[in-house]
Amino acid sequence: MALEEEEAVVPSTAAADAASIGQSYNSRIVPWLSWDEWDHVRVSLFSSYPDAIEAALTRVLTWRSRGCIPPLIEVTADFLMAQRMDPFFGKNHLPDAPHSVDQIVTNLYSMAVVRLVNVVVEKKRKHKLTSIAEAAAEYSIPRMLIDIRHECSHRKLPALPLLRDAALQALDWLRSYYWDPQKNALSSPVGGMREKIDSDLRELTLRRFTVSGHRKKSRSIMNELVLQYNLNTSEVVSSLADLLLEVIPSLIENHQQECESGVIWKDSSAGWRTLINQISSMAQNLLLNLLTEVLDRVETQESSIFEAGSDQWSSLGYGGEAGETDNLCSLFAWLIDTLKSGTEAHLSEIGMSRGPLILILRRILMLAPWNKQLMDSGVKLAEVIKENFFIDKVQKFQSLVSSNVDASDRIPPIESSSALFIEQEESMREASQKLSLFGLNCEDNKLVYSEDSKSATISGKWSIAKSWSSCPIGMLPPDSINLSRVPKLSCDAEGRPVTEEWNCKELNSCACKRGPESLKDSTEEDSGPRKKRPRKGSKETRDVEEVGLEVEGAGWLIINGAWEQVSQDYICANSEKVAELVLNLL
Amino acid sequence: MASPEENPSSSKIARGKIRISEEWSKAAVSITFGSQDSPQPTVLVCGPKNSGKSTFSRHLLNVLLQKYKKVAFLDTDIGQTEFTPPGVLSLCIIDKPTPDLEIICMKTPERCYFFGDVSSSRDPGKYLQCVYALYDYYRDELCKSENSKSSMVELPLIVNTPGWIKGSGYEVLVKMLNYVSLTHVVKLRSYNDSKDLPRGAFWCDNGCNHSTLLEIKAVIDCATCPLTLQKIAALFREIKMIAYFRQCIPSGSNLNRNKVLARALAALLPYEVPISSIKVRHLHCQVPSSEVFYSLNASIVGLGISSEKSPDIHLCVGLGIVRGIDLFKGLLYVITPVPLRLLEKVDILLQGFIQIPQGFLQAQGCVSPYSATDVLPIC
Repeated sequence: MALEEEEAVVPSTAAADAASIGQSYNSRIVPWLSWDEWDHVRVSLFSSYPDAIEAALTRVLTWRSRGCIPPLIEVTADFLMAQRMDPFFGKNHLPDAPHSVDQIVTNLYSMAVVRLVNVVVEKKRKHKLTSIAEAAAEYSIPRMLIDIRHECSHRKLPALPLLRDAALQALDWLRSYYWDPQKNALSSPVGGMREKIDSDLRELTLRRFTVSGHRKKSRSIMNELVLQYNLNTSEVVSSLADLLLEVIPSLIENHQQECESGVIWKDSSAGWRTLINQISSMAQNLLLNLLTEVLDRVETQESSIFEAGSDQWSSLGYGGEAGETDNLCSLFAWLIDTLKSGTEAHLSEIGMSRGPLILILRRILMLAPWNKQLMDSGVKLAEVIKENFFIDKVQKFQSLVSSNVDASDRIPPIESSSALFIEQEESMREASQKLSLFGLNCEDNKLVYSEDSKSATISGKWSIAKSWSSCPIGMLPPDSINLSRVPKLSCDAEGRPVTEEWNCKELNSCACKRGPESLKDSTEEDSGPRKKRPRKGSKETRDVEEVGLEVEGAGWLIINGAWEQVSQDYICANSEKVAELVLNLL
Repeated sequence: MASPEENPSSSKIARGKIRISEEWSKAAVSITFGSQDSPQPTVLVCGPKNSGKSTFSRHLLNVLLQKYKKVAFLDTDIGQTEFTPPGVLSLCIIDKPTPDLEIICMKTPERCYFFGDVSSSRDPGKYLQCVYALYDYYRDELCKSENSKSSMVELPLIVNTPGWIKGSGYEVLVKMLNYVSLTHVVKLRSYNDSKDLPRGAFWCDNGCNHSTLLEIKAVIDCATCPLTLQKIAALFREIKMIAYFRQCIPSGSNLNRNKVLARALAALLPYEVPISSIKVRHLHCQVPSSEVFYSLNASIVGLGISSEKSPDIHLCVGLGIVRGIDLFKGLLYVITPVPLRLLEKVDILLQGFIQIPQGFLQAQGCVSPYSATDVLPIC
């Protein structure tokens, strides 16, 4: 073993440095990945659904294993675990309740009470100056708990009915002393993130575009936004997109007037560009995310138009929607221009994230080849990243379209579009052939690896990651599939990822004081957190879920960024949708 | 380690420089140069917390290196480790003296085990297993010589012990004293008899002590409040952990401030390993298999090698930080200073309760979600 020897000088400054880091941010290490997670546990623990409580207790166990769990959470869990064992409080979880279950439960309750009082009191009590009872009274711990603790330590264990009562009091007290105040102390309200982001953005733009803006304040708002962006990318991006959509008509107008008159307007396009550039210099891949967001919205718009009036290809049905799609396309074009006119730093960013940009180009191709504005922006983008393949395709389509010029360029000319459809059908057939091959592969139970991980497994177990961008410890760097960087860590017992959903709305409404009669039976199926399997599964997949068996020939596909288990029948039934997916993959 | 307090019976401690008392240097010299035909010394240093055990051990190390070419150092104090990050029991071979006793030295151990906690209280049995394994390795492998004529390679051993000498810590210490065949035992005494170890050779009942017992006084009056001691200990652990992971960044970069180091680590290209080819095990509690990744993300792990010979304890090549988990690609991303050729053998990640330094989670612009700002101070 030959690591370099390292000698590090430890003067007193280094010690102070280490200490001050923690204090300067006034923060602590916590075992949860987000306050959302904490809140879900809070709601589940105090709900009346045994499944929810069970899941929350499992999560608290996990927190315990990380070693930095706040003691009051542990104490809450102790009480709930004692209650869970107690046959008095509902279904008995011990398969064959031993005769001594009462004794076991008495011990559990007693220990929980002793821990509660000690944990709260011991920290701050001036050693031996005051008695524990006096110190405990300061925290308004119910007198009963203090007495029980004393009895447990010095005499014998109290009776079970008393302990049950004490447990209920203790849980109430814990809720009022820790859980509710902590929830109220969260500065960014859980779930109410959106309003805060919106207000932050508006304030920032206001300050930027007024002459006398306080530099410091807008700086701090910017920092906040970037923090939010890191934690909650999709929310911030969507909020920013909304804001831009509002101003885009005036931006286009002003831009034209600017060019004519040469005067720079106050809320000019240039000003907005600088703002976006500033934010994206601190928030990685902002432009990329914005472009993807806009495309998403165009897609939804188009699909809703199709669904609404698929047999009406006239312009009558459009009205308001046309305006919106117009706005979106204009915003897209504006963003591409911003990208083009970006600084050196941007262009290097483009070099790095070429993959996602190609993905965007593909989407434009699939989306609306007859939408001139989109296609033009796409061509501009392709020119920037030098993607000639795309430019060829566009020219092909445009030649098809222009052979039959129509009044509205949104409606595809029906005669020439038949060629388009034939071509599309051909590619679909090819894709479904490839898919059936894929299905055959699945039958052999071979797991489908993406290109990246293949090379990693070939060279042995450990290897250096091929690329990385700076991101906080515990999060993943952004990539083309997952724009949000907080990792999804839920998995089943075999270690395969699943999408976990905590059904909090229902739990919230049912959170009430726990007592033996208020506990519901666990037969209710849509309560509590479940490990959800693919929602768009066909009936076959649902059967798989219920029966719990592995269907022969079932394999794993990435759908919408998540590995989901699909059966052969599912593939056949949804061949079109899946063909589209394969097109994207290929 | 330096204290402004003065003590009349020994030399003063000046700020920034530790001076060894006469009693201490006499003890060290007598161990090293004691009698000419005595076998190589095997010394165990014990005493209460903050009594100067590590300082004395380092001093003894330097003195022994005047006579011997190499000295083995068995570090069993996992809360205040000497040459390794905390939570690790290690056997190091030292061949260079370290004249400045205040500098932190990180060395690569000859052999080490990751215990996953800063005190042996969680699992004294496993702790002792690791200690015995390390001592056995020293005795059987390192002391063997190539030619059969000379019986032993000259490699003296210093055993450093934890300062926790009450309760089960005391029993662990007694077992260690009875297992290792020692030539000398150095017992440090504090100024408070109640905190000390019992007088005499407390570890053998029937007076069968074959080793020389040296009792020396602690230099500093360690009568500080236990809470402050705890905080100081935690701070030192954090400093050592930071020094360990500083080795990940190639030397020569300007990393004077910890904030710069934190940012550098956030941007460092990590190692990746497929989840399917690695096992994960928590050393002290049971984590449900569906929650493994919640427990593992952004935590300090020991990089272990499993073997059939010892299924309970795993040899360790170093520590790592699991800096990200990608379930869709099936990859774990780990930051570690251990070189790749040693990592090839690692097939198990050992979780424990060793905390990641808070500074790493608070790199500017890269604040980890595990570092929260709204935590109420009441808990």
